[in-house]
Amino acid sequence: MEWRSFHKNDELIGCLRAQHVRPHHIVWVQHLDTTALVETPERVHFRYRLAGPGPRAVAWFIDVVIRVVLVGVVIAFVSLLSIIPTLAGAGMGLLLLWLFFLDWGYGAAFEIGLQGRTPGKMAMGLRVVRADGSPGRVPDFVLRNMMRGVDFLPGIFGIGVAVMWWDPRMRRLGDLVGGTVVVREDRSQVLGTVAIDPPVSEEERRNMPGRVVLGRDETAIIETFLRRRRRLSDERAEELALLLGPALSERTGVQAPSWERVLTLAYARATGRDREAD
Amino acid sequence: MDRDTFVSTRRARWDALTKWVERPPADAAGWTELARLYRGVCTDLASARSMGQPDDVCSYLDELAGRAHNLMYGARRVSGLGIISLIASEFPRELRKQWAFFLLANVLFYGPFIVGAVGAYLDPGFAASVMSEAGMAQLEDMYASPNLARGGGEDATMAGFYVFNNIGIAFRCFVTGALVGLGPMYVLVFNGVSIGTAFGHLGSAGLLPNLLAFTAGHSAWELTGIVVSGTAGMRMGWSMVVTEGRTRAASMRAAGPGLFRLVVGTFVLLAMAALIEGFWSAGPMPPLGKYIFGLLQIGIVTAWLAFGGRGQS
Amino acid sequence: MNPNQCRVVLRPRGPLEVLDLAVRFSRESWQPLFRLAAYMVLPFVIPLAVAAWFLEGHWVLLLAPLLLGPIIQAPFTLLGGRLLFAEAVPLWPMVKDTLRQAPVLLSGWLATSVALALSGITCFYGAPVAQMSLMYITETALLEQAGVGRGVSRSLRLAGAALGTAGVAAMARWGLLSWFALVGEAVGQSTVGFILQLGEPFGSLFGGQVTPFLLTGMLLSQPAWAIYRLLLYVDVRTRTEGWDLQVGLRAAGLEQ
Repeated sequence: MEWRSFHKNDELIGCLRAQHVRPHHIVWVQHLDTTALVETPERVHFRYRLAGPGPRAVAWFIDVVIRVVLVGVVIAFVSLLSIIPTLAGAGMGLLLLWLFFLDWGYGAAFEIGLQGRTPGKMAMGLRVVRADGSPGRVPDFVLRNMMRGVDFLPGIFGIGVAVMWWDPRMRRLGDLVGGTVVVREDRSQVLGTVAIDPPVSEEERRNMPGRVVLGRDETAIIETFLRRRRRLSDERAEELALLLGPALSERTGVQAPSWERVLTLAYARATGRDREAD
Repeated sequence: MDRDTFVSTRRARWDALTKWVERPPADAAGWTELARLYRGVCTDLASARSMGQPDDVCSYLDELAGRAHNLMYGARRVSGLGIISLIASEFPRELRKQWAFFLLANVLFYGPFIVGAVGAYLDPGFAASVMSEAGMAQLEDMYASPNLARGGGEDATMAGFYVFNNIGIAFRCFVTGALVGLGPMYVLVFNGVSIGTAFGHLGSAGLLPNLLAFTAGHSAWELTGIVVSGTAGMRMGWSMVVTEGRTRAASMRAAGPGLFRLVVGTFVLLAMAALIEGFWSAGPMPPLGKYIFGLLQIGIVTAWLAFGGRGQS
Repeated sequence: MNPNQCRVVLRPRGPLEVLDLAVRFSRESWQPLFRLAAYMVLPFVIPLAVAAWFLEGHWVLLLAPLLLGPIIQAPFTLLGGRLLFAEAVPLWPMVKDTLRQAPVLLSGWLATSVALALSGITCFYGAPVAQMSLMYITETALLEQAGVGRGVSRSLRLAGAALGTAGVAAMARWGLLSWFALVGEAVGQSTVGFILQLGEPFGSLFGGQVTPFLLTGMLLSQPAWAIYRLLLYVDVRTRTEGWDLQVGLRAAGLEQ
């Protein structure tokens, strides 16, 4: 079947074999992810998800569109105003002031008022916070928005993106001077309990060894597997279970008609879930 | 402890904290409750980590604790009094603290200014190499008479224009300080030469009194504003190059608050210049009156920058 | 979950978040990537500059980076895939492995070109769809050792399983190209025109000429797109086929 043959030829996995290195000898000093670790005064560590050029570019573009609309609105208003000759000059002056404000103050005004968000950032679920995770202050917002003038050079955000690429926290020059960082604010959910489906039957309980001990990583990976089970096809799930099933069965003594069931039973016994009522 | 027990025994606390985070407390009792729940959630997070609870529980608690933390160490409100003290005393003190950069900025501006003025006054060819023919003709037109011809409504337009143009130039001068301080140097020298050449050329055309009458009122504010923006820009460039043992990012962040005060000062100086230049400088007052007013402005600016904020710790 | 064999944390992400990840990944592993980019891109810069000079910036020059694109991208797909699992990847064996798959790659690109040409029937409205559905051909050829037929069907399957991702990726492809081109042009013009004060020997974009700066920028965008597409491929496989589970379960199995 399609699954099996492609899995065997998976070069990325084959890479591990070819290098004759057992997996747990490769220890990355830092798993790469777009997050940053913060330690609060209460010795709480929390991670926030950083936002880089991808979402921020879209947020910027949305803000540009909004600014164009705002300019258009004021131009229309000023044109109406210049019907009265004495107010024409004042109208032009107002327009120039508005253009100046939109150039240098749009971002800062919104970020100060909406706790670190502009409409574009709100649309993308982003927020500007200080490096330690606390809310930004007025000087931070003003400076970082002014610095957009130099981050924009050359081309379109040439320096800005280059600095974002260089910095581990994906900050541009404005963020460096303002001491801020842009984070994603997706709300994560606590997922529901893992479904053991079908539940462990009486017969299966009897046939299992008395004590099954799983390592922490093993428990974690089997649990993730069981959570995602619904999104996988049956063949694919069995193919995945085949990677761990035989070795696990041999070690723990759990037997079952399919490797997937072996993993499920071992997990259930190890976490004490095998005694759940039907 | 397995996951379900862990989650179910503590769920109530997490939900309560989530409710507070979404609708911040309005009174002291609410804040106390929030703080108590926050401490509990911090403990839960530490336990979850040490017990090896799955990732989704840990990241959920991470985020909840993070949001509550942000809420508790909240932003200070912007106060009106704070702004006045910022302008009147904190800005001048910061400027005096950065006196070395201020001095350098003055030299970089007024040096080329003098060169441009003297050069254009003595040698017509010099002016032609800096400005175009059309530019020189336009200058002579503008200052042909002691009072600029402007309609009543035009004053407001010009004030707006000066805000848009001049403050824009000054802000650009500041932000290009991130190019290791070279941007502001270039802007200061370039503007110094341009303005000096204009002065020199009009001097050689005999129109200098008109120009002086016009610029007397606002030049104290405007030229100082440009120089202060150059000061701030070079200070920023300096923080990128000389980090004093910190990382570059930390050095730039440490310079931030000082730069903010200088930027506020730049804005105030140039906003005053725009107001005066727009609504007063082109007015019908006789030249002597304008000169006296100009001297008064020089006095005000000097006093503000030299004495503002003195005598405070 | 602890698949500590993979350089990046494997979890389901969205296409924009994968772009951020690509930025971080290319930063952390910048040495091999930049070295390969130097080998792959620099040889073309001078010939293109000469061509731009003689053709006086004619728009036909734009075809060059587009045609060279797949050739430049292929080694980066393989290099990126190997960098996900190893710190040091020797370049020459990797290039050899890429060349070994050259027939499959060529037929894959031919298939893509045919599909794009056929989309002309729909007045090229179908062109993005054609491009999206066949976008993973390079990955399947190099990382799954699949032949053309299987590669096409796999690519269709992966693209179809994550349509939103494929759509964003199609836009991102042209976005990356344009961004690199514009920034390359701006950097080139300001260096030559402003810093070196040499004027505009190749014309400029605003004058309607295609400059070698523009072309170099477009060439440099190809490795970026290759890395981004590779990480999108990993992301789609994680989301739809549980590839992170595969890595983790295999690691657990090997540790027994």
